[in-house]
Amino acid sequence: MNCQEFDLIINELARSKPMEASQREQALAHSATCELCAVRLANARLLTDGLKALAATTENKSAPSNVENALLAAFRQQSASPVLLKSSNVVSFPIRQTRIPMWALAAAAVLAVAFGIFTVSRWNQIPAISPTKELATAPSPSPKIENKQDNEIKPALAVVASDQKRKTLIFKTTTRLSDQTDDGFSVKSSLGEFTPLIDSPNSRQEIATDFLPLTYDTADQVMESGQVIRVQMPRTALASFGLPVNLERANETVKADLLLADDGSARAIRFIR
Amino acid sequence: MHSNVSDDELLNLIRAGDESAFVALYRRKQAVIYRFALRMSGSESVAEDVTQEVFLHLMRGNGNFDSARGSFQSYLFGIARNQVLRRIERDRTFRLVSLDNSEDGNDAPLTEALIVAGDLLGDLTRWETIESVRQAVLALPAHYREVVVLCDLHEISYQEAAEILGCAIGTVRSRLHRARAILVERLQTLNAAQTRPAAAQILSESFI
Repeated sequence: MNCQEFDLIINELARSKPMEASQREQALAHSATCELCAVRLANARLLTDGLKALAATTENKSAPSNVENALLAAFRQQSASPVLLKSSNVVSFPIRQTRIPMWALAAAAVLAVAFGIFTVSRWNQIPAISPTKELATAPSPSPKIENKQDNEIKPALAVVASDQKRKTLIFKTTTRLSDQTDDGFSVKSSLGEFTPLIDSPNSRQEIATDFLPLTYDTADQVMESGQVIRVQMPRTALASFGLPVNLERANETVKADLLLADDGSARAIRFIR
Repeated sequence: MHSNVSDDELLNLIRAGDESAFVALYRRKQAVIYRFALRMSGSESVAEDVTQEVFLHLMRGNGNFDSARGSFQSYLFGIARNQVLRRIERDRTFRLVSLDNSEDGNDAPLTEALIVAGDLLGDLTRWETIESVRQAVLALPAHYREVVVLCDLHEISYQEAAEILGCAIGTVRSRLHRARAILVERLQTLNAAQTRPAAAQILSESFI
């Protein structure tokens, strides 16, 4: 037997576990000739003795009587109300989860499918909003309307909240942020030029800049959906985007629409006047 | 009353609502579960909680016991082990003693450390030895600690330990081998740290 083979059985040897007699004899013979393995065996035996001594110190330990009392109280309570095990004053038990019958699950599934079909059918019934029609109501349409129509950027759905302070606009269109104007209805304009908003009756008096990308790395990312949230910002923030700031009104705030992606990150901003 | 009734039969009686069967099974098994939890955690309060949770689990009938998969005791040990590991992970209230950093910064490899000290634990008193071993066991990582507790402290066979831990016998054997090597190494370190002040005290007393 060599040292590696000895190492494989050293613990069984030290723990006096049953093993083949011939193997034991070979191991002991090896340890008698190999000083290194003899030391290791001695250490392993000392460890075994230490572990046995440790086990002996806890050999008579058992759970105190209050555990049994608490369990008995719980058992009686459960026997009294086997369906739902409620908390007791002795031990606290989590409420047992009630099983949902299969028929209820099936009914829920049918309702979910029906709701899905209804939603899809409603979705298809929404008439496509023509930018030309909407733009006809704009106070001062820009000549760039035709370009917008040529590009055929048509939003599939536009929902505008009635609340003026916090307007949420959900659009479903596949368009690049850099190509997008504000919400698909306003007129594309040059940077910083305010243009009328016509997507909501409440916003007829409002004019807005184009959406200005907040970061370059997200400017080219395709956004299939998102939200526009109305916020107020210090008027001096206009300067950060290269827009002129009236110093006399520098202490005032300015309204802005933040374009948020689905992950909540702000992608672009436009300023409202 | 139920002294001759098997564990399986007691379990069936418990499911039928027999309180005396529950008491009999509890009194038959609680001590070994309590000791396992105590040796794993080093905390009596944790051991109490774990014992209670194991029998509550049994009472509620969560997780059906299958005698084909192992003994009833292995089943209880398995529940207790999960509870202990959960408590260790959640509370981390146990005072684990790190013996990795010796004062003199001696980071000798394990094999070398095993060779040097021929009189491991020899200088320690019995109580110091037990306390040292206890601390060293509690400082083991959980997957090593549980095999030491099961195989060395509870003297459970490799086969039963494998059933409790849900792993192969070879895994139990190799983990135990590694765990014991770590224990020897740590006890040597601890022994060296403890004998040094004692030797200094003896020397100082001799000059008084």
